[in-house]
Amino acid sequence: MERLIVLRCPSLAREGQEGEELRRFAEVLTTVVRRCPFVQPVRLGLAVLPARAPSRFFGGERAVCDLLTDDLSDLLGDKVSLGAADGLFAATLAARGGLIVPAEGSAEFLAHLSMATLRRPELAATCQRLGVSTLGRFARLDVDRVIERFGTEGVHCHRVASGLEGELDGLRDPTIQTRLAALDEPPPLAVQPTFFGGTSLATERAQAAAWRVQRRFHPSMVQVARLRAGHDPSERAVLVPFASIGDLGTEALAPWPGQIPAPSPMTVLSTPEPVELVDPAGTPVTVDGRGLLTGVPGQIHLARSPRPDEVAAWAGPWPLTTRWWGDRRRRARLQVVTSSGVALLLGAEHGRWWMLGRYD
Amino acid sequence: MAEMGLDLRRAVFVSRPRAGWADVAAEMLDGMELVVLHPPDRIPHGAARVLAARARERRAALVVIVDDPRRWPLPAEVTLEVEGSSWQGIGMGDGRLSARRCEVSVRGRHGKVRERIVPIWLPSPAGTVRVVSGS
Repeated sequence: MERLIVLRCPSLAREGQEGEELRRFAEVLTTVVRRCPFVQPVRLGLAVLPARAPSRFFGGERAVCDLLTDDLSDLLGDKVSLGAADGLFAATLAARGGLIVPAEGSAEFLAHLSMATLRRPELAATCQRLGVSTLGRFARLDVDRVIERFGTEGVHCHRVASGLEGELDGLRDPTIQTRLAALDEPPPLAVQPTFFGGTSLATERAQAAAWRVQRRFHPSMVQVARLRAGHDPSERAVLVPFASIGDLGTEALAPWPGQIPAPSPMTVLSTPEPVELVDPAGTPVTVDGRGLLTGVPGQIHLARSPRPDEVAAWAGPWPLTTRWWGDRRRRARLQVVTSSGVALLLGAEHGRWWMLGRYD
Repeated sequence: MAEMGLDLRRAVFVSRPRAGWADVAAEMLDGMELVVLHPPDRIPHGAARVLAARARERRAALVVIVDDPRRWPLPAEVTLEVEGSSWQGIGMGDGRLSARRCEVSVRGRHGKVRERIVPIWLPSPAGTVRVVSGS
């Protein structure tokens, strides 16, 4: 996990009516850029920089933090704190106390912190009732139980609390870069997104093009894809605005129970469409309590098509049972190929079929 | 697409630019090496000409996805069309979708490329995109 230094300016964390905080935060970034060109804003009053290069150059992470504190003292007085750790979540919390958490020590550091640091009040409240009040105790919960109780979001928090994942969703303000860029002054160079994985001329040109489109049309128009763990295709790929990116698509994907192996559908419907599935005699086919089909699929009728299609092949159903507070949500997945060669991913829930995606 | 080998760190997506789609595509051609465009139903001749010229000037590749090649108002350097496809690995209640074999026709502008049909795995059982070997 990447070693990061986080810089916190608590006095600039809340936006006042004049927008003064945003301007001052831009000044902070401009100051930091002089020493560390790769600094990136996370949200108002919070910025992050990769620790490796500057600490090698300035003689250690502590030295970098001291140097930047010094640089910023004219601007902020003592209202700035810096810290270092592995991953953005731990580094942000380290910065609160001005701590340098040793490499590989993030999990241990996080273990003593309160569940409130995850910024998920419901999760924290539920865990409190279960007697789980620290990240360490939460991390020790069995991951299967976490899936059952708290779903994908809970597993994400669990991985963050365990130090397996460095970045907590929601930590970054996706608008901060564009807002900084919109200030009258040209933004410091490093505020522009620096990714595409390289620094070649072609990379720079590609970045510039994406940046121009974003400026000219709409800040959230240009997006990048990010993969994450999840049951369904719709949970596994998300598009996020170009400017708001941390480490992109680099999240190691753990095998996920209930996930249908690749290939994934090319088109994933954001709102599943109802589908009728019947056997050759016209009797509806559903999934029974044991997770088996009640009949042989013969015809499929899609919501948007005028007539039913013949089913040429099918596979499944694969059951998918998730629990939310004991309320069992029984779902199943079925792959269907129609006689015209179209392959579909269907989902069954509450005795109905839905089209979740198309293998275009 | 990531499963088939696209490096998501090197791709950006622009969803539904609506009226400005041609401008967005032109801007993208200025910087990107490859632009994949799924245009709306009506494609003005002028917009197509501007984009083709921009791609040539910038040495970028422009791939236009349309349901009928005639909808793109200019002759393309190369036209690829899926003539037929079949899924493999899935049976009557067993297996799963594992690979798809597509018959893709290749045509060049002014007959520069010999017209032929190439079988392509999209994806192959290993998840990659490649020409079906032995053909």
